[in-house]
Amino acid sequence: MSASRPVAQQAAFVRGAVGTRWRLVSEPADGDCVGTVVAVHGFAEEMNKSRHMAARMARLLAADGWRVVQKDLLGCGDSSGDFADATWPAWVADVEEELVQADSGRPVWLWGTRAGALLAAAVLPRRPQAHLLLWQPVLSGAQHLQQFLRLHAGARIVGSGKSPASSLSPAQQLRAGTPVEIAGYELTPALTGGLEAATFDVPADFSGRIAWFELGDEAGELSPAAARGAERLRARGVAVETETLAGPPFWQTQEIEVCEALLLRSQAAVDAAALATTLPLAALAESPP
Amino acid sequence: MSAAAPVEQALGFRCGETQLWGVLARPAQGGESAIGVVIVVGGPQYRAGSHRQFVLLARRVAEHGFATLRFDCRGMGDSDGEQRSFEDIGPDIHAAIDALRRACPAVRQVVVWGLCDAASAAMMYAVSHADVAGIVAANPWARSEASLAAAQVKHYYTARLAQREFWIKLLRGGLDWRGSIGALLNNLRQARSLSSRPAAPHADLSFQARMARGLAGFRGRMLLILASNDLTAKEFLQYTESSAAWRGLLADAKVQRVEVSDADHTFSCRAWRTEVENATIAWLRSLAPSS
Repeated sequence: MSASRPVAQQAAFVRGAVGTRWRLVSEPADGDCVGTVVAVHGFAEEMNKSRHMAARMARLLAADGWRVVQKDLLGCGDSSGDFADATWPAWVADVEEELVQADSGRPVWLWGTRAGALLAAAVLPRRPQAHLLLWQPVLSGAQHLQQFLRLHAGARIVGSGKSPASSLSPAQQLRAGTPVEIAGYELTPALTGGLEAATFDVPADFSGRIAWFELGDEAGELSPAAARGAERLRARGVAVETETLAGPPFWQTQEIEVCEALLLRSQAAVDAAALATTLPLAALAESPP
Repeated sequence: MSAAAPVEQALGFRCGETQLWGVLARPAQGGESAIGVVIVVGGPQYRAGSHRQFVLLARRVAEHGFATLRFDCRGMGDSDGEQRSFEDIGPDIHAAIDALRRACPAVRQVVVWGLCDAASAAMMYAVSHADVAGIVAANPWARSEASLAAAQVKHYYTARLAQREFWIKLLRGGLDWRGSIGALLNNLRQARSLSSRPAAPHADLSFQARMARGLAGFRGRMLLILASNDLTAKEFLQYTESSAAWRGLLADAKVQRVEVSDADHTFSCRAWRTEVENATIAWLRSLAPSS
């Protein structure tokens, strides 16, 4: 890619279907973008822990000419509402809106971190030629929810119903239609129902490429479940590049961690799509009449 | 009192050459207090806070008339730059105070609100800013090997000795008692070193001593919020009780103390969070009786 360009950032609260959303745009200062990258953050505390990695990635890509849009979903981060106001369809709509707004003549990446991969995949029918950048993607929403509930099993759990300390587990309460407060987050069935039903897949007419990265103790192949998922997509003719990089699981570590290898690897993958799109045009322009 | 939802806006500002990002919440119908609040984020968090506690705190406080800025220090959240220790965020805190005053001309004095090591940083650095009228310190961080050992001796070992499983494990030989007793002795030694240590000279002060010096010289007031079920808060109290530099400081009339029963370090449920919000708002009102 060409030498990095000065980056300009603009943050604002923009209108959502209900209330407003925090939206941070990072782009080359001269405004001439090679394409758009739409970030889709992870679930609950994973979003907080990944925030700085995401910020670093956004600046790197913007310096390479991309317009990077980071928006907090309803009830998350700085966006309006409580976590209890969030619903899965509202989150899908938040992502979809960014996808629809992206310049249609240039490449678009959906960049999903953890559960953000499920939301990114959910909007692909609107633009099946978009590319996917996946950071340790969650493939099963049901499993993700289960892990969240289990991870915080020791934490104080409060059902918001009037009934005294319920004998039902948080998962059972949610299935019975009762919100639960867990580790400081109020989860409602309107959110967890959608998460539970979500699985990672791309539509039949998907024509983008996928850059799929996981982190582990050492570099190498993907985890077995992810490798199977990627293999299934390849069998359908989808271009999937996969790699496990050595690095900390920054979305859940106690301290804020950064994985430079993931930033550089992702940058290379995203930039390659810009080249693939712009090269033929450039070649055309330079060819003699 | 019912209040309208505050107006929130993105606020970008600089700390030296570095771009920082924050969110300013202001009362919707004007009538802004002359006191504003800057929330400094402690620990491994960004401006939203664990389970969004600072988002919700800022909104409540702004609903009650106080403009509130929460922001990411250098190297955290959306802000640029390299991550650094809480002992090095003085410039970030000052930059945020100045940014709040620029954005809200009605604000003349600022209260710095910090959790954990941000509370410690506030005691060290906010006090030197001319506009700072108060500090809200929630579960301040004063950990040293000695204070951790002392808190463990007091709260962990005594609890352990009262546990049936501990004795059963010990009697069945399932416990590495040599190791445990060694650790206990080591903790006791370190805990003793805390109380016998002389007050440090001015040069090269520990951060705990600098907190004490900051608070001692501070002309404003401080609200100390302690969660009753938090080791960090216990260590802080332990430290202040046994260190010469801290003697009498927390008993000063400028310090008001609130304890949140049962609460953990980040006040991680609606009930505890609300207690913290209410205590903050009531105390801010006492600082600004006219508003």
